[in-house]
Amino acid sequence: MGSGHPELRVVDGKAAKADAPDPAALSDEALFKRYAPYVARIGLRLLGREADVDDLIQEVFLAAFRQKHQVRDPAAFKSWLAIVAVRTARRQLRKRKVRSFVGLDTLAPSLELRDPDISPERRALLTRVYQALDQLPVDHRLAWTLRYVEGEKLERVAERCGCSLATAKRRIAAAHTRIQAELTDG
Amino acid sequence: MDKLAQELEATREQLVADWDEERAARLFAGVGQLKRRRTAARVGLATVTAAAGAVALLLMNPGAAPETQLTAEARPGATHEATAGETVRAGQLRLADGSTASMVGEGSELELLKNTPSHIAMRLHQGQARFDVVPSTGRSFAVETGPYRVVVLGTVFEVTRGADEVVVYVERGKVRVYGPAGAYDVAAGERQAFLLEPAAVEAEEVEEAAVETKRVKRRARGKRAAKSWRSLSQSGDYDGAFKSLQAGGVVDNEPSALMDAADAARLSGHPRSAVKYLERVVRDHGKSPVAPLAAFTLGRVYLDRLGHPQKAAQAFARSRALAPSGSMAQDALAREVEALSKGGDAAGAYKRAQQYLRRYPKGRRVRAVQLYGGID
Repeated sequence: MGSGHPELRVVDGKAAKADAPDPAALSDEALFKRYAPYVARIGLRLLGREADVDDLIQEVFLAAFRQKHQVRDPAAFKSWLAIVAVRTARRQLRKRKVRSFVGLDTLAPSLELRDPDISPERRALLTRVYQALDQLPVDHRLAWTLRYVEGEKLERVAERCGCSLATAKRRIAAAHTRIQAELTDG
Repeated sequence: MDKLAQELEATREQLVADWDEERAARLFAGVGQLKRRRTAARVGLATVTAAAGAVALLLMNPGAAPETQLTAEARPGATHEATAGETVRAGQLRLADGSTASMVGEGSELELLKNTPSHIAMRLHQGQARFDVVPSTGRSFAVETGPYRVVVLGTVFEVTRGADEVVVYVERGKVRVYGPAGAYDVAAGERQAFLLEPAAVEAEEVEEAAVETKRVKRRARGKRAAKSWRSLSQSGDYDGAFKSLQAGGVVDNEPSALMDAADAARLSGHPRSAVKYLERVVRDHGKSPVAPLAAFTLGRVYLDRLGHPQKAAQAFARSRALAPSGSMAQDALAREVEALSKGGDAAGAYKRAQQYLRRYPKGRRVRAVQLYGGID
């Protein structure tokens, strides 16, 4: 797996907004202000831990500030950010697995739920889902989270994970089976 | 679409990071700091390369005059004897053992930490410097920069900086490379690569994931033994689950089972029984991810169902203590204010309300906290 960032290119241009501003024309601060909440949302959903999201945001925007001038299609910039976020999350999750394996990572998922009246049962369900995700191979976790938590279409999952559609489907199905078994068996 | 997918779709909009201007400003500033750190690390590695080259060059050609290796950016005539603690930004330092350190380009900053004939240590804060090291067997010579520390042990070696890695080849003697993953000795005849990015240990992870898969499957098989009360509880039949529990259903002393039992009791109208299970989670499994939720639920049961506001306040405080920055901390503090107020502890409620308003000035419970805390 490459460690660099993907080249800026047209990705999912049809779905992107046609009136997206040219990122090269925006200051770093304006770019951050416009897109950081979006990256934070993806980061939280992928990582399941509020405490880790800040690092992901900073890594993603470090890449964005460096490469914003290479953008060919402004409409694809948001998708490009999502791809970088997924790659960054992959690195973080792999480090977390290694740290967990040697007993250095014992933090639990720390999810922020916008609605304060959301039921404890639903909070507990999400906590258990993320506990189950922690058991999965990282690539399976990412694909499943993009599909079921982020609600992305299969083609978009494949694009953001940098894999084929068939591989994305296989990863999602394997993860879904494992998670359902884990939730059922408690 | 299965039930899990439906639940997640219904919850999706709630699963967002807390975002406000303070956090945005802090993170934006953090990107700048990260950029500077990365730049310094890259420059540092380039410097290590230059230093190694200088060492090798000098060892292979001891007669070369140091001044002939200076770049145009180093100001001639600026050489001076250095003292420990001094920070140099231009010119050339002459060190106690006769070695020299020359600033290259503008904006370089080199701090001399130790400068004795037996021990020389420097820290390059930013920019680039060239080190001409006099061969010596009785002296340590180290250059620190970012997360790396290169210690010259008396040798001839090469350092190559690639896009993703640093390669150290030792021709004679030995070097020690210190990095984020610890120290690594490279001996004569060896070539060793050090990754610049955090180690992507994919092979180990694949193996580890396989082991985890087997472990999960084993655990799942073991738990498939008949535990009807849990099945009933998880399917939403809380009355049936509680009856099954009362009939002798076994509750394992592990967090998820205790939480299911608490749900069965609480949601079938038996809050006192729920307290028993929730207290076990908090008492016996304080490090479990569900412990903060258990303490919070305990507070709600005490406050809303059993009319024990003092105990409720303690439970909400416990929830906060278990996860001070967790997703429930804000609500737990707000409800602690409410419980203290309802328990007649106006001073305590006021104190906690002030704490809430300081910590969450735009929090979602501000109005209720002001009300229960007696703050206009």
